[in-house]
Amino acid sequence: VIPSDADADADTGRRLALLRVAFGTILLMYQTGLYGISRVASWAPAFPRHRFASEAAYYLAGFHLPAPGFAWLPVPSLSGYRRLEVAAFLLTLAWSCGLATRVTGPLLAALWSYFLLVSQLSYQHFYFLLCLVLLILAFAPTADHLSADALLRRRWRLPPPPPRSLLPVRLLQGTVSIVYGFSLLSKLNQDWFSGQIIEALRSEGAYAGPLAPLVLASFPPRFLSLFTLAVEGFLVFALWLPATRPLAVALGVALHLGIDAMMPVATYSYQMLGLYLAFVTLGPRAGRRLAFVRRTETTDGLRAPAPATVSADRGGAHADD
Amino acid sequence: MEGGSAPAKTDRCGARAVRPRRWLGPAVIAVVLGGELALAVQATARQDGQYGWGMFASVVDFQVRYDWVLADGRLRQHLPGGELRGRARQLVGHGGSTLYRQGAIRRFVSGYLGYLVEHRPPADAVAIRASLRHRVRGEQTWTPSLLERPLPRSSAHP
Repeated sequence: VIPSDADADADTGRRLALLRVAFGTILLMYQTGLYGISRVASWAPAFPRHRFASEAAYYLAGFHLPAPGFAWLPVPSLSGYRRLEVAAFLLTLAWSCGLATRVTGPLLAALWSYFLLVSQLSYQHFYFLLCLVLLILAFAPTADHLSADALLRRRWRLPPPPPRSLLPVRLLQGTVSIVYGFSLLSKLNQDWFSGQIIEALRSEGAYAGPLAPLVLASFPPRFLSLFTLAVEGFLVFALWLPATRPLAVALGVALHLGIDAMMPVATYSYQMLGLYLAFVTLGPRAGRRLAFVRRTETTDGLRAPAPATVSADRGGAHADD
Repeated sequence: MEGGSAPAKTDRCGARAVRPRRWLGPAVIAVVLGGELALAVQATARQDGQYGWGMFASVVDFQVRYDWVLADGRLRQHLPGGELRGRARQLVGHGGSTLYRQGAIRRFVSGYLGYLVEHRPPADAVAIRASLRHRVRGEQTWTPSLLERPLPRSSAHP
């Protein structure tokens, strides 16, 4: 059920909590190696998975291709890097469970941003997007629901949190449109219009997994490239509009699961799908049948203080943002 | 100090009224999304897929050769060694292909030149030069370009 945006103000806390859980799960997937339909045969979970197997493979020891302007950042030794990975894993666990999110969130965002800026990870889109989203969620009130913090707040009979600003939600929504918009813009070339890019990517070895040959054999290259262009262009604006949102979500799911099944794009597909939660309102009864959700509902039986201003969420910034 | 300022407005329960800072939300949105937009626009203008969400736009083949420019004008080839590891070796070693467009390759090579100037400057060189050429896969013509970075005087003539 995807209701209209009219009740989005009351729903902001839930959306932020869901986004925290979704991105916490995605971070854990990445850190344990349990991601990617295209690489499902090679899943070998580790807790956490270390990026560098040995000193010989530790590329930060040489020219490490840092993010522009951040070559001055200190580079840890291999053992130091591994300790940071363990710290990131523990912080991710705590943040995903909603434990002390005001502390664990910013620490986690800082650590992942450090990994991004210091190393060749800055090359990868999924990691850049992950850091952007983490930086937004880390400073947002994401622990009002579905969290250890909410559970403790209810047990200790603390007052419920106030209605939350839509600001972080708007930032995530804007990020989604920017990603799709510029991704489309870069693809407006003859290779994509003609479908030649599908063959070029094949020659580049960009496809992987057992489903890729099946998809490539089932659809003409030009259909795949034009479908990608059309869906990306549609998603730039269609996710914002209640009337087109269900179709946009369905097309987005098809596009990203298709990409994930054919190409090793790490957790990028799951991140984009997770960001759709910023557009979807759930209503006050969503998830109430689950015992854990009921226990972490801080507003149940307690009156929240009235908001300073109340406005319908119709696409513009909230008055309190 | 207490008598100098006006008393804060309170409601019936004595709670202090807080005036919402209405400019803050739009300002944060403008800064964050404006920053993301600026990064994406500059990356698009430079045909650089990184930070511009431009991956998979095309497959770009490229070749690169490095030469130290000596004081008398002669060139001496530099062969990248163990200082390039992981993806850096694939990207700026000798050549290859990328999904991140030609602008990204120019930036990566330029970054490597900066690294060489800082960490591997020979005594008799005055600059390091990268001769780069690229083409979009499927096209016949290669586009050449030259990147050069001078050495500081102190390192060239110790």
